[in-house]
Amino acid sequence: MSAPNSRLAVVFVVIVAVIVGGAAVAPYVLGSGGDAGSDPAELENQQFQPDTVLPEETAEEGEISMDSDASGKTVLVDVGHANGVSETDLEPLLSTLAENGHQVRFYRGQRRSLNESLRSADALLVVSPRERFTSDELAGVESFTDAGGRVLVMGDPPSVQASGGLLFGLGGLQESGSQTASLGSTYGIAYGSGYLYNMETNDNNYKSVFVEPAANTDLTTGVDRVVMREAAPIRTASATRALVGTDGTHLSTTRDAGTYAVLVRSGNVTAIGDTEFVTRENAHDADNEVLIGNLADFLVDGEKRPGAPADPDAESPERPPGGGGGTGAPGPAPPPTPTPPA
Amino acid sequence: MSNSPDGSGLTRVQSYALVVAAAVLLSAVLAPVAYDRATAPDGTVAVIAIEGTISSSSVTAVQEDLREARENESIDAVVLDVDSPGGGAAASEQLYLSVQRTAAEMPVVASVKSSGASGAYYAMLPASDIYVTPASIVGSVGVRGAAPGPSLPGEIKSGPDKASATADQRRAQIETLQRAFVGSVMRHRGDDLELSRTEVAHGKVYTGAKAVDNGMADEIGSTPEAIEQAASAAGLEDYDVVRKDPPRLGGLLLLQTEDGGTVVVEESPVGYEAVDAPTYLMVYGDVQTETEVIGNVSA
Repeated sequence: MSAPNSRLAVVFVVIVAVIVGGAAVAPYVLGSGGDAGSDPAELENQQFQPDTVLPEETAEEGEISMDSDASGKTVLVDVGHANGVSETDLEPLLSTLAENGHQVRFYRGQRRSLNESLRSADALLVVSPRERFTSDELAGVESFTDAGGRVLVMGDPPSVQASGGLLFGLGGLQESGSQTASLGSTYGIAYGSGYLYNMETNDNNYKSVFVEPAANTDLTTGVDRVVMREAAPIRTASATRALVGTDGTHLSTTRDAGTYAVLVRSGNVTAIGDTEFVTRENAHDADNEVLIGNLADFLVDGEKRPGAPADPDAESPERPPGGGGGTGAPGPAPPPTPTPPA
Repeated sequence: MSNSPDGSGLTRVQSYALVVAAAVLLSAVLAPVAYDRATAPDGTVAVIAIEGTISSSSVTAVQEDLREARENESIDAVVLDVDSPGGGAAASEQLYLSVQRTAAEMPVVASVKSSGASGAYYAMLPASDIYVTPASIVGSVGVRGAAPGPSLPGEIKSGPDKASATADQRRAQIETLQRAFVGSVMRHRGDDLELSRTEVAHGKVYTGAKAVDNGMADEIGSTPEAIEQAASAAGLEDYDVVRKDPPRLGGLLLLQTEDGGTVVVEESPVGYEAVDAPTYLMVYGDVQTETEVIGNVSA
């Protein structure tokens, strides 16, 4: 009885072994069966490899320094026209001035008029004013520059700003631009609409354009190229175009390529189409620090006659005709001009 | 067969009858299979929908469908039925890689319903043909990233770059993603494109006819044409179509607040819920990058 039982057991084991073994071997024998479960495709994506996609970053080095040997000049910074800039943003330029023994004061539009503040200043810095200059102020700035005072205007492209809070979709978006048209027009300088971009040569963003010297001026001494984060073109017929966009720079509003100026100088007035290059984050990119030093030199290098502008609003008999304070005679000060409404 | 010698009792006739009955029975089982085989289509075209905003979770479902298409031997071609403005950058790249893997094994054709922009365009790049209608839009090759918000008051961070980044760093990151995106467009469509790499990088959207004209798409046509093209590329004359719709995502999320109230938060379509993480997007149109509190319900 035991022999048939053991034979049956052997037969059982052999059958199981053959079937299970056959199932295990079958895919290899049949060939294609094994491929179905795996993804054999080898994908080569060279366009994702680090050496293809990682951008170069512009070196950030160098110190801001001034060459001017002038000392004790007073630079008035306009923050009284709802300027779209904070004192922190301007810190690299203002610190440089302070470190080199110059005085920085702010015009806030509260107690004194701009013209009154200008009388004791040697230079004026106006950054992105969002409120218009009154005609009195414009006349005051003109006589200030006529008297040798330096004016540096920094503007930027119109930006879209949120108002009223955006939660629940309330509030709105308003486009606000620098109110520099009338100020610039006095000196034959106008800010163009739109921003500059360069799709080929840029500092890792199409809006971060490089600008390079187009004329040999004090402002561009030592400058090879400067990074502007959001630059507006400056149009001028008579002023010197000191810095222009590199090849391939386009204007956003027309999409036209061209040689767009972003830094121009007309006598005692310099205008720049960007405000961000001066912030500490960007101040050491490329040759930005050299340009900031040159701008600081520009501000303090003027020889302004003290007392200008005489009050242009006063219909006082001693006001010199035609010159708008060109003689610089301070005279007895009439009551100060009322400040523009806030 | 003959009469059983051991006297089992079956006559010759009975034996024949038994054999005939067994044969008929077996044939009845096998005949439908044989009939099916004779009349079966040559293969199957899977239509896989890529709809709505592309997010990590929606991509997982589509990836699963694509994987099934690759593994299921009865599926011979895939049509991507695209109607999406794009979405998260990383999710779009994931989808691109899955489509690319599928296209390496079988014909993949894309059909754009109304919008195949940005990340969705990225995802269908490996397709051999892109079908559009005159009013559908494709393109918008580009990346956008929201600026990180300010630190929470009193928050302590372990390092200066933790949960924040400088503008320089973010510009470099966006540039990196952009190069990968534009590089992929040029790789897959460079031969057809009338546009230069720079023009592609402008991120413009194109309507169907313009896209066919400049090489961003291949043909004017709807999804049935795309299916036909996919089938013919797979050599199928007679085919089945199976449609795979991943579940739509999005919805409302309830969050408990400290004071016991419940805030109803609309689930962020592309980012992380409840965390305002700086997310890089490949998306066309207006987006709400942050979770938006849309109501306050007291518990």
